[in-house]
Amino acid sequence: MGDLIKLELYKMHKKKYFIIVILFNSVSLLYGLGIKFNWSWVLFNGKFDVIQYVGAIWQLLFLIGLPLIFFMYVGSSLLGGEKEEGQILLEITRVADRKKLVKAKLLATISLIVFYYIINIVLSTFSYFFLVRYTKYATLQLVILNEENINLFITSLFGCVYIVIIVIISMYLSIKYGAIISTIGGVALYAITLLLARMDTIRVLIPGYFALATDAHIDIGGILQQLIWSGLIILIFLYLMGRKINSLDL
Amino acid sequence: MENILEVNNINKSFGTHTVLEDVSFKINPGEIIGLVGRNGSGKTTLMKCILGLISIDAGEILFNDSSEYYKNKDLMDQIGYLLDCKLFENLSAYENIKIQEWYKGKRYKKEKEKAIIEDILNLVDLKNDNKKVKAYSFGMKQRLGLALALLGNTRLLILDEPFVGLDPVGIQIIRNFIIKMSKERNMAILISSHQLSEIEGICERYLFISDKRIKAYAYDERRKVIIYTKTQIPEEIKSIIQEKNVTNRVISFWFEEKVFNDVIKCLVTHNVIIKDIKLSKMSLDKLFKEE
Repeated sequence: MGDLIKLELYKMHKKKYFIIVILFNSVSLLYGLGIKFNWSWVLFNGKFDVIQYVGAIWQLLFLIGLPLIFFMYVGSSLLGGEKEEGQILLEITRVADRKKLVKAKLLATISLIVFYYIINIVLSTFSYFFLVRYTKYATLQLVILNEENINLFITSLFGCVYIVIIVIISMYLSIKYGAIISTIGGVALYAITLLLARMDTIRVLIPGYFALATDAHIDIGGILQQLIWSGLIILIFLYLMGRKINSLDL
Repeated sequence: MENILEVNNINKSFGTHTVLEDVSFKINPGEIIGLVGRNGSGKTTLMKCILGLISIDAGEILFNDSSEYYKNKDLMDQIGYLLDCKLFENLSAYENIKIQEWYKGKRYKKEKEKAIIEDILNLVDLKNDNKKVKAYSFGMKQRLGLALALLGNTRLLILDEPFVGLDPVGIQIIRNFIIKMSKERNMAILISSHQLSEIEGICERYLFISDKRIKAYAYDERRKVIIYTKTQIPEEIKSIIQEKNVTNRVISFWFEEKVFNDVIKCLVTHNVIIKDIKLSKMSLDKLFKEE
C-alpha cells in the first residue's frame, strides 16, 4: 500500500500539485509583506499573536474555497478522470486489487491535504515571525494560549477533516460522473453545508460545523460528536467507493 | 499442448442488450489468433472480460487453469495488452514505463531502472528523451502502448485493433513486431481487427464474432484461381476440375500446379481466348458478406 501511495504522490508531483499547494499558502507571505510595508489593502483590527495569524490565514483560504475546489478536482481526476481517459485500466490490471488502488488514491489525496495544512501553518508562522512580529499589529507575546486560540486551532483541524469529507464524496461521485461534474457536485455540497451551518436547529449535525460556522460553539461534547460523525461519513463513503469500483465494468 | 487461456460458455449483457452469448474458445502458447467482427460486435468486450475489466454473467475464463487470475498479481503480470486507452500524456515514455513497473510492485535502483526501461524502449524503437507523450505521433503512442504490454513476463498478449490510425509503414512495423514476439517469446497473441487485410497472413486461426457468438476458422493458405474467357469453355475441362466449378465462361478451382497447367493446356488446345485470370487467397471478407 505504501508504495502505491508514493506512486500516486509521484504522479501528483509530476502534475505540479505540490507547487500549487505552496502557491496557495504563499497568501500568508503576501499578507505578511502587506503588514510589514503598510500596503493599503491590508487592514486588521487590533493585535494578534502567531496562533491568531495562522488561524486567520487558514480560515481566509478555507472560506474562499479555492483550495477545497482544487483538492476535490485532484481526488476526482485521480479516480474518475483516469477512469474517463482509461489510464485506470492499466493500473487495475497491474495492481489486481481495485479496492487497494482506490484506497491508495484516497490516502495520497489525504496526504496532499495534510501537506497543505502543514505548509499553511509553517508558512504563516514563518510570515508572522519574519514580517509581522515587529509591526504594530503583533502582540507582545509570540504565542498566547487562551480558549479563543485553542478554539481557532480546533476549527482549523476540523476544517481539514471537512476538506477530507468533501473530497471523498467527490471521489465517490467521480466514479460515475467523471472529474468535472463531481467537482461541481462537491462545490454544490460545500454551498449547501455552508447554508445549513447557519441554521440553528441542525447546524451541530453538519459535518465541518466548527469550520463552516463563524460563531460555532466548541465544547468536548461537540468535538466528540463531530469526530464520530465525520469518521462515520468517511468510512461509509470509503466502503461505497470500494463496492462501486469492484462492481464496475470498465 | 496445454491451453494458456480457456474461455468456456461465457455470456455478457449490458442491461437488456446481450453482447456475448455462449462464447467458448481456447488459446495455446505461441499461437497468433485473429479476433474478427464488425464494429460493435463485442470484440473489445470479450478482451476486457479476459482482462477482468468487465464481469461475465455466466461461464468461466481460465488463465493458467485459474479462474481467479485477474485478482492474482503474478498471473496478471503474464498478460500484456494494448487497449484503446490514453497513457499519461504529461509524462515522458520513460516515466510512463516507470509508473507501470511501479504499479506492478517493481522498484529498481536508478541505474538498473534506466537499463531496463531503455531496453524496453529500444524494443519498440523509441528514444529515452524528455519528450512528453502528448507530443508523440499516433504510431509512437501505439509503440509505447506495446512496450507497456510487454512489461514483465508476458505469455498472453491481447491487442485490440492495434492498426487503427496507423499508416502502411506503421502497420508493417507492428505486424513484424507481433510475429517476432510470438516466435521469440513463444507468446500467445490474441489480436482483434475489423480490417481483415491487416491481420490476414499473420494469424494461424481466426475467431469470428457474429450475432453474439463465436465461430472458429483455420487459416487456409490455398489460393483460388478464377479464369474468365471470351469464348465457350470446352466440356473436356470437366475431366480436370469439378463440374460445379465451371460455367460457360468462368472456371474456378484451388491452385495446384498440375491442375493449373492442365487447365491452361486444355484451354489453349481448344483455342479458348482468356479474358482475365484472378488469383485470390482465402479471404475472411467472405465471412462479413455472409453475415
